[in-house]
Parts: sequence; C-alpha cells; structure tokens
Amino acid sequence: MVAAVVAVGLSVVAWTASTFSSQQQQTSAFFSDRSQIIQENFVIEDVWFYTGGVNVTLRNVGTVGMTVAAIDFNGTNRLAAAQSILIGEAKTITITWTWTSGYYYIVVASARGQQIREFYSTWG
Amino acid sequence: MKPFIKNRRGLSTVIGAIFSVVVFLAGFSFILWEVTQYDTHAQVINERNRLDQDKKNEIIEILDPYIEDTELSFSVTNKGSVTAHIVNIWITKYNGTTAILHTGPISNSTYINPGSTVMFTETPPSLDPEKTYLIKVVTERGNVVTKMFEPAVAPGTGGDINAGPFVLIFSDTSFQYTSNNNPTVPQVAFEIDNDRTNILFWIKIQNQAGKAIRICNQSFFLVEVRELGSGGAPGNTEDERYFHITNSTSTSSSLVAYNPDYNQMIASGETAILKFGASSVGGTGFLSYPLRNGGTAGHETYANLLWTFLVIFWKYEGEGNRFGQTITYTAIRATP
Repeated sequence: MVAAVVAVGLSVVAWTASTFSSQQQQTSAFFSDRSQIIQENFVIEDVWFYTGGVNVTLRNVGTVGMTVAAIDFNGTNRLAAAQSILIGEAKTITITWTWTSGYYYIVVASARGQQIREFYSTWG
Repeated sequence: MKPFIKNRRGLSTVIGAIFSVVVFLAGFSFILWEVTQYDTHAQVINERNRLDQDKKNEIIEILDPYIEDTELSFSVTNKGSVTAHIVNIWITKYNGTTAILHTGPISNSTYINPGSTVMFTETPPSLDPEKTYLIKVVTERGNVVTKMFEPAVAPGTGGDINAGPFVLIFSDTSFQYTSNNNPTVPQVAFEIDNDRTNILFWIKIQNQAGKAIRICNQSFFLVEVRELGSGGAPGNTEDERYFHITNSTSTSSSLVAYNPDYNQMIASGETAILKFGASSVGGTGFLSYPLRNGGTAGHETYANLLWTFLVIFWKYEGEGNRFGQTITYTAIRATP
C-alpha cells in the first residue's frame, strides 16, 4: 500500500513539475513577447525620393532593439534585406527603385509585427 | 519508534499528505511566479505609457527662420513641460512646390528646457534667399516638427502690403489694367501709355480676416498725375483721377455699374479682383485720358510718374459697421 502511494505520489509530483514547467515557459515567452512589443517604438523620421531610389530614415525611440522587416510602397515591399536598428539610433535605409511621381502609402513593419503607416509625395 | 515502524497503519496516509503538500506548494509557487510576471509586465506597460506621455508633453516649435549669407538660422522654443533633446535637423530646398535639394540628417545634441528658446544656425549647400525651405527638427523622443520658410518677398513679386484685413501683392498678376487697346486681356499696370482710354484697373486683394468682407460702392482707386511743365520739367500741381469701383464683370468695352451696393464679397482667406474705372460712384462712364495731367504739355514726349492710393470702404458679412481705409499703393509710369 505504501509503495503504491509513493508511486502515485511521485507520478503526481513529476506530472505537476512537468506541467508547471511547460506552462511557465509558455507564460514566460508570452510576457516576454508582449513586453518587447510594448517596448518597441519607432518613427519615420524622413523620406526622400531621388532619381533611382528612396531614402527612408527610421528612428528607434523604443527601449529595445528592433529589426525592420519590410517597407511597403503602395503594397509592394521594396526592402531588400532586414535591417536592425539599435536603441536610440536613426538609420537611413536606401531603397533602389525607379519610382514614378505621385503619392505613396508607405508601411514600415518590424519583425515583431509593429507597423507605421504614412502617406508621402515624391515631390517633397 | 519501533512500535511505529511495526505498526504501519496510517503511513500511506502520511506519505500521501506529504505529496499533496508538495503538489500544493508547487502550484502556489507557480501562481506567485505568474503574479510576479504580471507585475513585471505591468511595469513595462507603465513605462511605455510614461514615455508616450512624455512624448505628448514635448511640444517644440520652430520660429523666426532667416537667411544671412550662407547661413540659415532659426529658433526652437520648447512650449512643453519636459526637456526636449534635439538630435537631428533636416533642411529641404524647394523650387515652388517641388523639393530640389535635401540636406540631412544634420546631427545635433541640444537640450532645450521647458519654456526656453535656443537658436540654431546651419549652412546647407546652395543657400538661396529666393527659394523656399522646409526645416525639420527631430527629437530623441521621436517628435518631428517642421516649418516652411518662404522668402519675405516671393520671387517675381515686389512683396506684400498688409493693410488691416487686406493683403495687396505687388506682382504682374495682381496689378493690371485693360483699356481701349486691350479691352479684355489685362496687362501689367505698372507702366501704361498715357494715350490709353477706357482704362479699367484690375487689383487683386486677399482677405486675411477671419470673416467674409463686402466691398462698398464708395471705394475708388486714386491716381495722382503730376503736372508736367514744358520740356518735361515737373510743374507745381497735380491732377487727381478717381477711378470708382465697378462691377466685377466690367470690361474696357463696357462698364457695368457697381450695383447693388456691397455686392462683391471676399470670403475669409480668399482673393478677389476689384475693378476700378468708372468716372463716378455707381457710374458706367470712363474718364477721358485719365493718365494725362491737366495741361497737355509733354504728354506726347515725356514719361511721367504717377502715384496711387487705394481707398476701400467695406463691412464684414452680416455686420452693420462700415470701415474705410486709405492704402498707399503702387506707382505707375505713364509713357508717351
């Protein structure tokens, strides 16, 4: 009887530890992701259309580093490769592209899924 | 001890209880850990809210830009309740409404206390006081503030006169006339042949008041014609030529009386062309040879200089008070 109780007890403790550990990892990841999303904050500081390309200057005003995953112009991603921006840093990203005059709806998306959206005209 | 070991009855209950306590403690510590996680997360949210609030409270304004030699100077005033840290400056040169030269980012690190003003001086390339510039200032918190700096005197104009609610612009499109020679197509009025008849002045004015303005039929454009003595020498007198306001549909072929009174309205912020040419209030007749002086000496040989006043009587839309202004306006060169 004692052996049975010990066996069941150990099983319950092992299951509890495993379940709590797994739950702890999920919870930890959840809060970590949410916290980082909340801490991430960036702005479009400048957009300059020049012949054959566009310079987009982004400023990381958040409290965590960030990665720019996409820069869409009217729905088309023109960013060749992801770009990292450190805390407090402004980075000018050069996009080589022969644009046509007009208005562009620019969406900058971070790797964490944050987005900023602005309209810009090519004539300044 | 021996009796207890010998008597194993109840031992499994004790062991079970111990396991239960272990499981309970594990659950309790897990809950405590989660509460700590919530608390940490709440602190992150609070910190973000604080940063957002600080960003909102950071209110800066760019003031008094001017160009001197190769330098573009401006002031930045902190009207907010937190210290602003300027980190970048951008300057864009415009030709009309098209950006033609972009300078920046110009790195900076200037802290401006609440209520303080700091002067900035930059030297962007190809600085041209006749062009328009956009100055952009960026703060560490991510606020971006801009100021469009236009030349005091717009290219192709002689500047503006601000007179009460009116803005008068010295330009080839703001001061024009039609005459017997050009009855429908207006020409620049800064120089007019003194042989012209049926002169109708087209004067563009802007209403800079916050309310619509109606123009009275007593308004007129006064031209002072200097007497020319023989041989083009100035005489001792002058002739006053009154060009009374006419309906806006008037041409130099046909004057339309300004009737009813106050019929021409200029909305707030809008421009309108006032036409002056009638020889009497509400009349439809032209002045004869209005740009010659009383004597005839010299008008076929010499140019003359005339000076003008714009006299406007008006009232605000929906209000009873009448206003009158005499505005020193342009000069006209009358040619032989």
